Amino acid sequence: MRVAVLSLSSCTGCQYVLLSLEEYFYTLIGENAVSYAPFLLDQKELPEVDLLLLEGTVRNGDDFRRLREARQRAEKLVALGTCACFGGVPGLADMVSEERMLRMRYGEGATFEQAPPGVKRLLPVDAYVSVDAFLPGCPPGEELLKDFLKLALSGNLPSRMGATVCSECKVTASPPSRDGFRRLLSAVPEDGKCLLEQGFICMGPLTRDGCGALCPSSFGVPCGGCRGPCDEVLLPPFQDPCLETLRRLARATGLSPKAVGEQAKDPAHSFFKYCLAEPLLRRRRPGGTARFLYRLGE
Amino acid sequence: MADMVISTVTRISGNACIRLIRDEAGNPREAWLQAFGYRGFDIMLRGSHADNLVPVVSRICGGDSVFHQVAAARAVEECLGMEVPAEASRVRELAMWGQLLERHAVSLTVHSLPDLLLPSSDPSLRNIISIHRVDEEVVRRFMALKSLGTLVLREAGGKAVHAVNVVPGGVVRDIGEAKRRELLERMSEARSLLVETARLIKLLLRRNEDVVDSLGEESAPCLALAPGDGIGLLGGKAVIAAGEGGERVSLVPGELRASIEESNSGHSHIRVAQIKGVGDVLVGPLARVNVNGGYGSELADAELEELKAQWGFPFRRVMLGHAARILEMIHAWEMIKGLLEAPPGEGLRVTATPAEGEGTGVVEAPEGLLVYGLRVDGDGLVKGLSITAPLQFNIGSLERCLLEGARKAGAGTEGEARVSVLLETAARSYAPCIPCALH
Amino acid sequence: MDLAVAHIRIDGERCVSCRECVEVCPQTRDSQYPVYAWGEDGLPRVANPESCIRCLSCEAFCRARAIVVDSEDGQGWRMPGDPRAETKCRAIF
Repeated sequence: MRVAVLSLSSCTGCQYVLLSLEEYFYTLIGENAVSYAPFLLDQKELPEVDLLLLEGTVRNGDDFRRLREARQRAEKLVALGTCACFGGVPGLADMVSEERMLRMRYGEGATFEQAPPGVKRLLPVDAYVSVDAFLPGCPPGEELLKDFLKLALSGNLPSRMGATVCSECKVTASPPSRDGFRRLLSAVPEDGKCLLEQGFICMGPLTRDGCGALCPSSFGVPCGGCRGPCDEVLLPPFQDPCLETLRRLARATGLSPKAVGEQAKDPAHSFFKYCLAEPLLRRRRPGGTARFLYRLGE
Repeated sequence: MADMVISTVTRISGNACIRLIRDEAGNPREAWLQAFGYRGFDIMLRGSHADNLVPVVSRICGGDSVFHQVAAARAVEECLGMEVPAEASRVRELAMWGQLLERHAVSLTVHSLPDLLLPSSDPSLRNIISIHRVDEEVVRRFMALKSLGTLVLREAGGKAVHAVNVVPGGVVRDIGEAKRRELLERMSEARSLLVETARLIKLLLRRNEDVVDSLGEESAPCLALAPGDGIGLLGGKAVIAAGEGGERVSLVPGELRASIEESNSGHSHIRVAQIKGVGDVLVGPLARVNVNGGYGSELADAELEELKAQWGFPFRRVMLGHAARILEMIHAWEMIKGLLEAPPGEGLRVTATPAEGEGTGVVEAPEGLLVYGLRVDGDGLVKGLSITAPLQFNIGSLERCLLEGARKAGAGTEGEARVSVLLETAARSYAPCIPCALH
Repeated sequence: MDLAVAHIRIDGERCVSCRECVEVCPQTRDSQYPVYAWGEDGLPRVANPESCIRCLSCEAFCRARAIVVDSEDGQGWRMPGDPRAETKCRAIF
């Protein structure tokens, strides 16, 4: 199969996972014709390909042009990584307008003659072109990517019924600890116990599974939501990542959801870290955009 | 005459293009490395809780994720006056050396090796896939070094890309005794491979001496951390060294941040960082060895002597960066062994109550100094954040090198294709990290 | 499928024993014939399925997606959503 890897504005982390596939990487480059991959090859123009792995987000007109080209020349287009699927962490910049951001960074009146035009708002790639398959994850784990590529390179684009990170988590929820709302900075969670029940913000109940719940079960670190929102968030009953987590935290701490919400002062970064740019969640962004901006004054 | 544009520069991390501006006669006047698409990490993080800082900054760059995490964590720790336990620093350092090994292995083998190995063949054949088709074993051996770094990083960081182990105040998990032994075993197997690779890189550099010379020399002062006993990634003062016997200026992290001056370049979103009163500085593997004079580990220093005898010291030719990279990988290998062998200590993390404060986090990332400046308010929310990435320091030097290369190549009768190959080779010898610079 | 009595399936592998289903079920709290009972093994147990009114609260509130009510294929019953969201969810691996 003719394969290409294209990266738009991204951290290149997904490419590192491609290089970390060990034995399978040689199968990939041996059995398939990798015809375009700027981090590996000198090929400058994207040729016609059967499968294109696309990572990153559309940040400016240049990215958009390349995305459109990719759609035209690729038989199957795969959004690789949470940035391409849901906007990812760079999507947090959607709280600030492009002009304002450039003004804050480069000063009033700074001009860049050759800069491509910016985008008005950040969106995942499937808001611009049709996408044939999504593989979210920041980055997707090696095993997950391997399974995906095995299926995709044999000609069928895979999908799986998603559950949540909690369904893979090895800790069992014990009775709530009632220690109040806590942050990792000032409290050490108890090992082997549900982090949500201990009063930490854990996005496990609302995040797609597939990572093996590495963070909460092996490291005792709350889930940040890097595999993106699960089906129940995107489809009815339209669970709200913020309200739903606050409700569970309220149940765990014995406080009211409002009281917990007042203590969690950064709703965008805590609850929408990887999906703030997802248009399906736009109406559920807490308080529109105004609430995030109050601290941004220079 | 119309500009010559290489779009996009391949085999580097991130998307950038090279633009060569020529006068009427076709002589190169200016050479730019252009990258657009500033992502606003320092702006969007304002108002975020310090808890969310580490996982978010990690997403600035996948290849340097641990370095961003540790720099941010150190900035938070300085804000809140947290004392990181020695054991936690050790695990962090292990993850950092692991990632340095991985990162250097990728920029050497995947990005630059084809240029050195196949200097006269067609650009379409200059990649590890073509090499793999001809000689599978060579690629596997080189990639084994990358896997080794990834392995250490995965054990010490929890995940190979965007680690989860680093939190403000320390780390979450230690490496178990069994894993430690397993890693040590894997490390000891790698010795001959590293020495062989170093030999090969040195040989290839000598074989490509004309390319090395045509990219010119860099005379800007070098800036690197100097922990005192060789090269380290954490701690010590930042030293600016002007050259052999030249003056040395030492700065503590806070002073360093205060003396960084950023300005717009007008042709790219990468902001140029300079040191007040000094101007352009060079950071990265070359600067580290030039400032410290040696690596501080046996095998790496032995290899260094050979290199010094061959090319003179301090190293000024920019393409020697590749040699500095492989020596640093040897040093990383020795450091990892040392850190794994040391008896485990007590305590992994400390906690703190949020308070107002200001802090600086400085670490040596694979391609040079990474400087974080942070202010938090009484609730532990970020009030101000500034990030200075290695490429921001190096961009001036890189563009000078591009121009130098273009002039030398343009002097002959070679065509545009030859010039563009040389310019890309020049850019790759800095292993520029575009995502970091467009944070 | 005989729908006279609700078919409630609990996946013990997925369940994290958070007890939310027991708390949220309107026919379990203060009910003489509770739908759910807490099992000895730390998992919820369906005690009286005939009490279920199919409000699907347990299914919606389950954080591990371990409960499915009235479904032969095990996929649960869902209202159709936005077409774009439907396409997206179908294609996610």
